[in-house]
Amino acid sequence: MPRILEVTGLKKHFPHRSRNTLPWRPRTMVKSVDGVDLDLEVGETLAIVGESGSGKTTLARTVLKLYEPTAGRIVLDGADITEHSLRRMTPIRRNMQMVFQDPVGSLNPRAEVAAIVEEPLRVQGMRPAERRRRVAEMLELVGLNPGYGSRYPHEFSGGQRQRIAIARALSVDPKLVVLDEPVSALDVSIQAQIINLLVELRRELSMSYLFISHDLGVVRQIADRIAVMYLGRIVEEGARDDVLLAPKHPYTQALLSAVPIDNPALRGVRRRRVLAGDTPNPANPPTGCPFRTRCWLATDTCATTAPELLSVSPTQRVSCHVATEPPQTR
Amino acid sequence: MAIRQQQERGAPVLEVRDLTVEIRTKRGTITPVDRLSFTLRGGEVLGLVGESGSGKSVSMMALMGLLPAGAARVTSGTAFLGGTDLLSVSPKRLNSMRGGVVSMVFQDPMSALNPVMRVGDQVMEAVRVHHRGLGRKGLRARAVELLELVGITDAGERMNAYPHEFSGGMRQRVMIAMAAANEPAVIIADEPTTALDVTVQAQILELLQDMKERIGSAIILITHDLGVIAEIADRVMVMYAGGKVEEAAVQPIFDAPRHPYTASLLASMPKLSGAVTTMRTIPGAPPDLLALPQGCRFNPRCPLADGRTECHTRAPELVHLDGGQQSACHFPAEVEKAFSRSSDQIEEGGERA
Ligand SMILES: Nc1ncnc2c1ncn2[C@@H]1O[C@H](COP(=O)(O)OP(=O)(O)OP(=O)(O)O)[C@@H](O)[C@H]1O
Ligand code: SF4
Ligand SMILES: [Mg+2]
Repeated sequence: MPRILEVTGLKKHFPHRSRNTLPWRPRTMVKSVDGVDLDLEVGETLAIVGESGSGKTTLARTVLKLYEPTAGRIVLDGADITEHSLRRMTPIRRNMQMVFQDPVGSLNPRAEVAAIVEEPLRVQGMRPAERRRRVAEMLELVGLNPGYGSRYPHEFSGGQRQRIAIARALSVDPKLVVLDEPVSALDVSIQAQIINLLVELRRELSMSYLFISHDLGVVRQIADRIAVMYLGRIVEEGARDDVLLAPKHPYTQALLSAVPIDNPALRGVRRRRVLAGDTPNPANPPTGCPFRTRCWLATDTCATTAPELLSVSPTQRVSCHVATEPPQTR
Repeated sequence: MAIRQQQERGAPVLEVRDLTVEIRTKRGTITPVDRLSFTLRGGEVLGLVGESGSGKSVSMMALMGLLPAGAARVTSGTAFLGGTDLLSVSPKRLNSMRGGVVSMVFQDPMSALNPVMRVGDQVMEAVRVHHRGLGRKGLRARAVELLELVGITDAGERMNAYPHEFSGGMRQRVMIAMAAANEPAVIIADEPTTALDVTVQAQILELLQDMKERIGSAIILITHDLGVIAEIADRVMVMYAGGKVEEAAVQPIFDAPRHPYTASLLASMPKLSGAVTTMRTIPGAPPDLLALPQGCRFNPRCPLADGRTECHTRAPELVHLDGGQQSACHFPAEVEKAFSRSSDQIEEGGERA
């Protein structure tokens, strides 16, 4: 299968601003993304899941080159774009679009819907008459009345605004769409509408999605593969059902067990692994394995050596010293 | 303490009748809460579920006397807690009850806590308001005890920290400590875990359960997440466009909902089990409170309403069904059939307008 995206060793570190940093002290860095490898096939959806602060959004924005990568390589559709300048990125942008979580904040409140949807088309240099036609087509595609083009964002509900954001992203026929928590701000009934729409559009337009979410139930509806992030690294990655039904990394197991039950009859039936404490500060991560401070399997090795992401089957990779040990030594 | 004594399991603690709230907005006057009645019983967790804008928060703010002054007012209703009607007592008296016999936990602890005041001082203040006699030493001891109770390690030291030094989960623990400080008869928790990660949510739900057992408060838990309801509610009220559309014990809500809105919500909940198929959705969006549909407020989105005159002409009253279940639908007996056809063709996705 041809790949639309290949990311290797990607890092994004930010200088850490802390109240008690003095100018003569060496500045510490927050390692928001710290060595991520991932690839995405044409027509595939890879979901990135993780809790707040795990680096999901930073990863998305770095992949799109909205942030300069600190290290690593990004290959989009066969072309290495890691070193591309802003100007050289412009023609490439039409192949990689983004949809954000907040359908209110991401749409210019003073612009008409038509102007919002056609903006990427204008950047790509499409002529006005053609743009108008395309805008009507896009609104129709996402289930909105094409006549809505002359209205303003505040006249729409949250779900409708997210449809507008999707219409804008898809207007340029991108090959890759990065969706950062696109349904998290929506009510469940609207959430389901948008998920169905995204699934349907991907099928029709043969795009690839990098789908960022903290909600495993939502991810299950849309992903082919799932990557689980913790403190800037991917700790487990695999086919959807491998990760959801047979998670190997202790963090994935804990995360899944924390998802609320969907019927009260299951109370007390499912074993819950309640993680103690909070995620460590990414400015000061643990040595060795990032998860070891909350891990019930941790050994001495975990404190000293960072585990690598290793294959445990052709469709599943795990970064854990204990989970990837060959069975006979366990 | 008359109220405490009534708190045997199952005895009514808070009885709300016909609560109606009006709010003046720029576009006109809305009724975000319309004749809401319910009874909260001792020792229970009553889940209040519904989509954004259904009136969950406004109804609870009304009970607590916390509606925005000026624009909003309670136009009818009573809410008896012990012998006191929360809706007609003087603001001063209500003030003294808040944090005493009834307290609140909010979604965003950061905005409920004072950012420039030490955590310990805030907890001590919550205790002091209702224990005027206690000296500083006594207050401090009680505050440390409370923080330990909600699972904050090194509570003695953490007393000196400021809220921003705590994680979201720890701040919510502090809020729960403050809400529990005076062993209230009723705790109202408005989306207490919505802003938290799932692993932290699991901790906080466990803590709420635990606190309820220890101090014997009854809890009203507002949430839009049916998963949270499935985890800890004993009974459930479902609100839609300002009114209660269904109420039942938690298991029948999930197994045999008697209102199409409840059934639709359940069907559009993303689950981790079962087959992955196209998700069932509720077409359209909740109504504009200034332009409510004629008849049943749910009719534009209801799979049963097609061709049924009653739905479009007459607003359904809440009816009492078997087993204490209540539904505000003209056809409660048909819900099960309409939603059991698993692969059926409820309108999908698109909003056509
Ligand atoms: N201060 C206010 N001024 C004007 N309208 C208000 C005000 N507060 C609430 N409303 C309106 O009252 C209705 C009910 O709001 P409420 O906050 O109770 O909903 P909710 O069920 O708690 O929703 P959410 O799930 O979003 O918290 C909404 O239409 C809302 O816009
Ligand atoms: S009364 Fe009619 S429209 Fe309303 S919920 Fe029942 S069937 Fe649907
Ligand atoms: Mg609310």
